[in-house]
Amino acid sequence: MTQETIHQPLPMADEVVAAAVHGSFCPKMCNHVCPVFTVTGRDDAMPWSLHREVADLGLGRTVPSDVGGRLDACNGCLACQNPCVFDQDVPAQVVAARTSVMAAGVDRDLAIRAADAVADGQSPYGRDDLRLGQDDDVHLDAAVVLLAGCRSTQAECKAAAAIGAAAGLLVRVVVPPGCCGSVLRDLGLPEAADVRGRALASHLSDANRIVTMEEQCEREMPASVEVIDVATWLAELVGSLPLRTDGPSVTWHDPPRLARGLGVIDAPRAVLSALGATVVEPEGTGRGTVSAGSGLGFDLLAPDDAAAVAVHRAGQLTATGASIVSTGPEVAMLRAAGLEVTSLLELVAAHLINPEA
Amino acid sequence: MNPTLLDELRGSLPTGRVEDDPRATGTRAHDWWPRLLMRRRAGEDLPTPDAVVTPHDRDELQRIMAWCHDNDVAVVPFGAGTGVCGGAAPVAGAITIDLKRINRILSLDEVTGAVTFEAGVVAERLEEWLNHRGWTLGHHPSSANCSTMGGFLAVRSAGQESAFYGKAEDMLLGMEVLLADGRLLRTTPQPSSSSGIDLNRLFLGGEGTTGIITEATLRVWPKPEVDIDRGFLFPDVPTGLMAIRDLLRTGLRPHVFRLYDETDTAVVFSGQGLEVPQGCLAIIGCSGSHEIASFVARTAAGIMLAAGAQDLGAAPGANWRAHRHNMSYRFASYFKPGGDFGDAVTLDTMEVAATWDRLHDVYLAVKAALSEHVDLVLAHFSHVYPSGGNIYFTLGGVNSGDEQAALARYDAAWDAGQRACLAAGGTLSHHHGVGLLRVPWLPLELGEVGMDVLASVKSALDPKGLLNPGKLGLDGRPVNS
Repeated sequence: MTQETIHQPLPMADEVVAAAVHGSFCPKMCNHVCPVFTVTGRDDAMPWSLHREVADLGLGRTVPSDVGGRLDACNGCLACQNPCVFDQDVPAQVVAARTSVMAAGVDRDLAIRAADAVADGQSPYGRDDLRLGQDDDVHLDAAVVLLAGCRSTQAECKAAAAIGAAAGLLVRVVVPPGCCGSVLRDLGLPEAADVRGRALASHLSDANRIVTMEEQCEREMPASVEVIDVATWLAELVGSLPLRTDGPSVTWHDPPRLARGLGVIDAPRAVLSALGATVVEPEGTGRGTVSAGSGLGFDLLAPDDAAAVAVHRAGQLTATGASIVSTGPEVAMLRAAGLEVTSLLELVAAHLINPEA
Repeated sequence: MNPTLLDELRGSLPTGRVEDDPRATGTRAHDWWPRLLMRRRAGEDLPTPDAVVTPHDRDELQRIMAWCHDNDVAVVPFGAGTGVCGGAAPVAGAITIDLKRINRILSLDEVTGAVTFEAGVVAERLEEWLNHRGWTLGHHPSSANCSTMGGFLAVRSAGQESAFYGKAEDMLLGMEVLLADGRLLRTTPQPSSSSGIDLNRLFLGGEGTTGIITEATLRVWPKPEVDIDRGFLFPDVPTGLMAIRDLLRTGLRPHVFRLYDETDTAVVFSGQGLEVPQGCLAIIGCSGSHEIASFVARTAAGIMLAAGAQDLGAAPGANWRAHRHNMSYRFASYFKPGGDFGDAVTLDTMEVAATWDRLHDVYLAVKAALSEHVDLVLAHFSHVYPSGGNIYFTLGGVNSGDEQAALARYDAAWDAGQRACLAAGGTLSHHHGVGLLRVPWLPLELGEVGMDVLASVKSALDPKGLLNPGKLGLDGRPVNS
């Protein structure tokens, strides 16, 4: 009937521990916005519980081996930051704690398995069926490099190439072997992520501009290169593309890391408007978007719960009655939940008047 | 509890439903009762539940309760763990049943104006779901973002717009309750009834001692088109209270009534960097259609001004609405180790109520009693009725790192404040409930006969004493402790 014996504090940055301690005394005021908690009811999904876990590790009130899966139930969507008056970054604290727990030698086998898959040239998801194959031959004179993500599809890559061609740009679509490092970093494996990042950087450092097809890849890109997300890139291009403007009634699902993390909210809507589409906003939109469960390795660590989060979001989206459009890994999550989703790249490509040109 | 029994329970449920590791039990070692938080802050090893059982759905919950009944195992119902009186604190020998996964929103009946949901749903999540469909529950406590609806019903919670929408208990049309023997009681949603004693009332305010609320149907309203909030400045508390009472007597029901005493008014204004006026701030909020809200707001303003108030315009109300959760959001910055006022602060809120004839006396008595023991006492009146209202005290003390002093001052302030309230004719609690916190003083309010009746109800519904033993001062008898 006692808790919390004192152990060696786990090394983490002071500011991370301080923020987690603060959050562990907050009366759980972001419960209502956390999609993982809302859908699963998991006690350890409450941002407060995550704060407490991180704080207790940082203060030596628990040992890494006792953590178990209690750092898994976060999809990094930053919904908890919306109401927070202290701008708490729960995902960053979770990643810091995961990193320290891994560094302490605790075997988090799912994370290790993901790293092994990447080392084998697969995505962290252990599959390569969606991939075009290795492309080491980056045309460095390309105006734009489009970087495919772990869950990008061949159709999206082809759409990106077609759009680039229609815009008269020299575009190269790069499908890196394995992972850019982002997912590994989220799982608590920064060294493995850095290895991937260095490998990728050697290909991309001379590129003029990189467009990330999955928004979470942006942070892994070389600092010397301009990096933008695909929605922003398309918003820049649509004015110069030969497009049909008979777009349907659509609902845009804001990927949380795009809308909240990067603040990209207007760009995809501008693209949809340029296609003549009527945008019908769903419950939870813009900065208030609700995750489909794809981030922070949640779909690797707790696939059933992540799938339930995706089903929940799919229900909100289908309630509008419009076609669903999105981008990045959330597309894969929603499709796995049985929702028919068009990626923004594919939608734009489908509206090119003469894609062969 | 008996490890063999725990293994038997574990074996009867899917993997992961029964946890007894210290990390899982540690997060259910306390709710948001500041006294428990202060002990945690001081580094104390708080008692944890022997085990936490997390049913996935109501069928599983029912099977768990039936098993507990058959095996004489006591249970502590646990929602989000945000109650402030220790109502979800663990009990030695009992298992804690975590209800957070039983959280579906089931239906919206737009003909009746009723929403049905499972008890584990977070209140603001329910509110946003309703808002998206053009409706509102109108239940907006400061803790709406974190607390479950089941918890709100179990303590008879009140929201900030209770003057119009009522307390949680007033919204209830029907509910489902899990009884101690594992049976389910379902009261059908009705607008009103005289079919004997209102069975719902046996569980509202019961804090899980008489049954576990698992589902409820509550009245909902069309979402207001507009909120018109206006501030007024009264020369003193009594003048403000009488003006509010007179407004209520017109039959009009603004949604929000708030009257801050001089100290609280100073905090409100200085907190915005504004010059502190002499007097008491009042905020009247009127919602609904443009036409109705405007009419109520105009009438309310007329009565306030006729009573001697100064019109402060829309700004105070806008500030309140924009920051109405701030005390909860800022709690950690005051309370945590190394907080804004140093280590080991004493901090809590005490909400009491009284009829109009005693309300000001209760205010004076409790404020004086609390002030004997802590450094700062703020008060506002924020829930009003035709016959009286509530007073919401905030009490704070700086203890320079001395956690023992913090606890001692806390205990002394609560004892003095609650006794003063009763002596002046008030009720101990308006909407936070009893839990463990108010156990010492509940018999003073209910009296010997009242406590006998309460114990008899408990005994009839839970003869083995398995449901949330000790809460409300109702001792249980967890045989397998």
